[in-house]
Amino acid sequence: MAIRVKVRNNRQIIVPIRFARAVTGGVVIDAPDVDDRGFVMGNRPGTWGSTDTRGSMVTMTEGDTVRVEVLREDIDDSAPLFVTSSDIGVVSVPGPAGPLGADGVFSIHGIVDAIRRNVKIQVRLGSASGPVLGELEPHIFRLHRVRVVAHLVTINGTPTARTAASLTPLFNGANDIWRAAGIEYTFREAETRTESHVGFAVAGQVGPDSTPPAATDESARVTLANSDPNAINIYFVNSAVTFRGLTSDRDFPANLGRGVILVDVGDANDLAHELGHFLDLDTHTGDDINNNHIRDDVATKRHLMYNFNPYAANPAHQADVGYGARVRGALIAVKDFAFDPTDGSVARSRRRAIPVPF
Amino acid sequence: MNGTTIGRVVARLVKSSTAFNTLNLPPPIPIHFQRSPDFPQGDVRGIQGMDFQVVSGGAVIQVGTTPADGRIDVRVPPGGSSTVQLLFNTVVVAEYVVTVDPGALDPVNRIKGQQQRLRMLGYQIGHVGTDGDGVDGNQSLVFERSVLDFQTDQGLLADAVNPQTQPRLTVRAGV
Repeated sequence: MAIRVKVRNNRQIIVPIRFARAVTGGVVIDAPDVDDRGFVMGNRPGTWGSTDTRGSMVTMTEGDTVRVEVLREDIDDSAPLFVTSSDIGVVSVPGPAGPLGADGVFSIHGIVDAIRRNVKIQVRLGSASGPVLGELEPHIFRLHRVRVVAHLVTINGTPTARTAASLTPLFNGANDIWRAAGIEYTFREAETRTESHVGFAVAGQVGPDSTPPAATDESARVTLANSDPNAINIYFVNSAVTFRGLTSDRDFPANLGRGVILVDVGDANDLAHELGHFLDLDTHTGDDINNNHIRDDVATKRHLMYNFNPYAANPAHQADVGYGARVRGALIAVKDFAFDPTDGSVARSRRRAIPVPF
Repeated sequence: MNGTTIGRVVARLVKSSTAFNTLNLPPPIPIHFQRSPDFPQGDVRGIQGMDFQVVSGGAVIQVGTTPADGRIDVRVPPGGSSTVQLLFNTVVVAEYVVTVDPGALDPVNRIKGQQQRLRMLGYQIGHVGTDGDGVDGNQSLVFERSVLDFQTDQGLLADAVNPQTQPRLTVRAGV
């Protein structure tokens, strides 16, 4: 079907394609989100080198094969498109030779975490050597493994509903999200610890923190207990007054406890979000460190580090940003823009994921 | 030069005329095919090497190959349309039906005005609306995405509501 173009003011630019996540709805490990915010590439860590690509970025773990979709925004559905790699030593495009299928989905295989070796995935018209319609910059990361230790917590006799066995699928879900950043949280059921507390205000519940936080806060009492210094400690509790998840990372005063608290209604996305906090990621709600400006746009809601899950369904067109009704997305930002001090999340979290103790 | 105009019409207007007068076709409309939106600022965005032809009134009036800036100058008859056809091995693989709106754009503080400018700059706003070009005056996920794209590309705080957006959109669109 022909594209209709209505020219105004005697000028017109046509950009035929863009890139997107290969699926909609829940997280799928081999279909990472695409950082398609703008066509500029943002600030680049020194190891990335420069690029003349203008488009999206996608991240993946070395050795993985992931799927990405080409959206035919301004080109016929029947136009034959071919996907190629500019450097098959870094990333390849497996699959049968020939034009892209009707669903627009293609696969890319990350071969090596290559420093200063820029690579482009290019969509071409007509053949594998045809003109380039659009470009995607993939980043391949060697896998970092981060040990986590789970704690099943009982408060005033009310335990978390979770069991050690039930945690495995929860961590698997969080790892599905973090795979795109080349980070894996290693959880072993046999290492799960249990603790009991008494004297809390409400059975099973963690109350609000005082200002400033104190070691006597109920959250601090939870995270100070029985922690493993060589792991991220994750404390599972029945409920909390003000949060689904709460994190005090290693920059937090040690005497106030460090770790993640997750309530029973928290899901894998919530766990992945809190683990992001532990790896130095802030929430994607503010344009300054004091959250003086709250951003609630459709891109922000796609971030794993968006503050609210589920989020308010207002305005109506934001009801689903690609992950389901009112469900926060799982994008771990790889682009790094000056306007957002919380950007560049992949690079920042990977830096923090290497050293121990926590 | 990005194509060859075939349809230049020459005619003797009146019997007493002492010279041939030239009836020019309408002035060409520059259409840029690019890998990313907005006009280049020291970088290369054009889609080079696409074979094309322009069809109007049932006749091929222009053929060529896109240069580095991806520009095709398209002649569109007043009140009518021309079709840009992209070719591969002489086979038509994509078509663009081009019409011209001679009227003024809507004000930039209206959604329609923003959509018109974003569309002009190549930002992808879908194909809803009576003209099939995404200009319908309504909020949508795709429209908001395009606003965020524009803000990001301009180095503005990308939040969809930044008040610097409308004046910047006016500057970039030139209207």
